[in-house]
Amino acid sequence: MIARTEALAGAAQGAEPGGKAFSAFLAARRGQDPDWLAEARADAFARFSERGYPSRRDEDWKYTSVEAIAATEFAAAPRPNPAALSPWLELRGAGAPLRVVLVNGRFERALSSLEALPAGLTVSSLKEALAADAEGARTLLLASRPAEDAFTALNTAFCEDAVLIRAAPGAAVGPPLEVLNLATTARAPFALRPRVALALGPGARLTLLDCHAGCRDDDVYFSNALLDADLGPGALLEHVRVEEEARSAFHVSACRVSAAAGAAYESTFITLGGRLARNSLHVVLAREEARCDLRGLYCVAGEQHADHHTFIDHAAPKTTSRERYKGVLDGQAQGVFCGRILVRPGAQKTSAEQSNDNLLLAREAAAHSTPQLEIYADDVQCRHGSTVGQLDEEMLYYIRSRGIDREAARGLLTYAFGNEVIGQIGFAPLRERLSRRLLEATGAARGQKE
Amino acid sequence: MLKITNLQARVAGGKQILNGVNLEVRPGEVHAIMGPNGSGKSTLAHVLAGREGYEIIGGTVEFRGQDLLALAPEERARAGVFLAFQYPVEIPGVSNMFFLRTALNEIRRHRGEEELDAMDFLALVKKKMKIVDIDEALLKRPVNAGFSGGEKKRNEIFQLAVLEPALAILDETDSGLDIDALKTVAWGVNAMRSPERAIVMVTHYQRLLEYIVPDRVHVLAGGRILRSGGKDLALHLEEQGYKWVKDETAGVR
Ligand SMILES: Nc1ncnc2c1ncn2[C@@H]1O[C@H](COP(=O)(O)OP(=O)(O)OP(=O)(O)O)[C@@H](O)[C@H]1O
Ligand SMILES: [Mg+2]
Repeated sequence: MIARTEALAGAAQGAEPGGKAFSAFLAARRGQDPDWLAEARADAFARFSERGYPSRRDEDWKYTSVEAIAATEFAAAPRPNPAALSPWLELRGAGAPLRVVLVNGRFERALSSLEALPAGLTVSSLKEALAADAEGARTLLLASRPAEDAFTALNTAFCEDAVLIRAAPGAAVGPPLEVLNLATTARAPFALRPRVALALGPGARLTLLDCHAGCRDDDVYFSNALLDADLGPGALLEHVRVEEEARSAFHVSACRVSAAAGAAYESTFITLGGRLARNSLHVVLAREEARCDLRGLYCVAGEQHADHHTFIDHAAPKTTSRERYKGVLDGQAQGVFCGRILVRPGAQKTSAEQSNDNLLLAREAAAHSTPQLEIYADDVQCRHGSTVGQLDEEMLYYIRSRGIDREAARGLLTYAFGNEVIGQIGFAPLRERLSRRLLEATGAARGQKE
Repeated sequence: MLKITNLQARVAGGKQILNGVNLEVRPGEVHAIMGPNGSGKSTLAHVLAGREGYEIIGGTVEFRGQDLLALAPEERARAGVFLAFQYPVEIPGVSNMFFLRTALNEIRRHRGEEELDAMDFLALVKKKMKIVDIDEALLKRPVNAGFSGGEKKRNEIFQLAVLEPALAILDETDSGLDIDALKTVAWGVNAMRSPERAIVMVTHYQRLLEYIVPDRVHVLAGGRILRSGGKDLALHLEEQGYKWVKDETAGVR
């Protein structure tokens, strides 16, 4: 069993973090944050205070209400005894030999496995990065980013730590790097603000397994995660993001990626947990021949709500994007997909492809799918499609005619639908664990005695 | 084994297709059903397999002493009915092996037999592969997805060989097969013949019946069995076509 260690640290933040909470936080950071960081926090907090949490009147939040987040008082994240957490790391991790562990948003070197870092790869905590190269850390953390919103501002204002990852020019990092974000159990709801800043030098390659998980399903916490990635010319980032938060948790994340000439960003977002999960993914294809390939699967049930907002900014000619998201919605679950594609003037010979397919397994489940195409260039290839449907009756009949009952046949087809996305994950231990999880969740595991 | 009495069925809320079918099949027998396009052969096969969307408006079907029409499709399969589809359904994302092992283990479980583990299943598959000469690569691919017409038919017979039903209904399994494939499939079906098993084949071609010699041949037209006979009836049809059927059914109406 895992010991419940609940050393609550810092001042509680109000239902909507107020000035007092922020001042207390800044004071606690004194001596750790250089001036530029304290200023950046103050700016971010001012931006948040001005606008507050978004409401459903905001076009981007039309289908997703964050009222429950706004109404909850989230305390600062507890600091559990790291030694007690190792069983959870095995259950919730990706199983990569190279691993960074963040507990409640804080880099835990003792739980991480970074002894055998491949040449050209550096991984450091915020504190380490500030000590080693403060200017470098500043550039990496605060490079000007589009898509600032209330949640990215909150992360900047209140994040206690960060993982800074750099791959040197030409470094082709073979083994994947796992960043496991674990949220623990506490007496009261708390907020954690995991943050990753990543830069790949020209021609560098890296696979990042970005896992977000909780321990017990009734843990109430709010993960306000942020990842920024800069891909140099010709760099390749494979980003696998697995969200398995506690069923009572809130997860609002943003990933902001910028790809230079010939760089490629390939992502697989798997969203399984959380009472509310919102993932914003903003990709800027900034220079010629940058490309991205985004895949996603959200598989939710009960009262869960999963929202994916993607925004691909084709800012240069000959840029390519491909995007395929799938949703499986059971119970009263709600799935939201909004795929915005912007082709800027002059971004000729651009091609963009988008699809979103949803499987509704119950009458009260719902899917909202909105493509948003804004095309300001004329030599462009753009395709998009979205579907919301039930399982195919012909397929169900065929399967049943072979002796498999309706429930199991539904499970089999649901598994097949979702596993198509999971099957794209290259790293076998994670792929197999997620496949197995889907197999069990859909009931398709029956008849497959080992 | 199978006793169909005055079976009448229609598309739910629509047109009547079966107008009183009578057919009795005993264990060990092979029956061929022939008849013009649209005469109701596939409908009969699907009504026996339990497809939804048909309404039974009269008659009975008894299978090994049970009321077959009262069972769900999966219960019929577990009781020993197998239909090789005229148009096998593609199921992307589910591998043939995974699918078949799930099916076999469901059937075995309901028969009170031990489920097969991965090793034993593989051994069984290897044995059955030889019977229908199916390419191992096909077994690893998703069920029927992107299979050629002939590969799909061969896969149906492979499933038949693995599931070993008491009653096999083959709906135009010979259509779309090249000459060599036809021989292989026929050989596979013959290998499945046994005193405990009955086979009902729907076909348009007398050629198949040269390889799988039937005990009885029936002509289904206008939703009923118009004529029954020995294997010579098929030869007769090959020469005469179905013009006489039109005359006879016209006379009836
Ligand atoms: N679900 C359905 N809805 C509407 N019509 C149907 C349906 N099922 C069958 N029919 C009609 O019933 C008739 C019989 O069809 P069936 O497929 O049983 O013929 P068949 O004898 O197998 O023909 P073929 O030799 O061409 O395979 C056809 O006219 C067909 O269009
Ligand atoms: Mg037919």
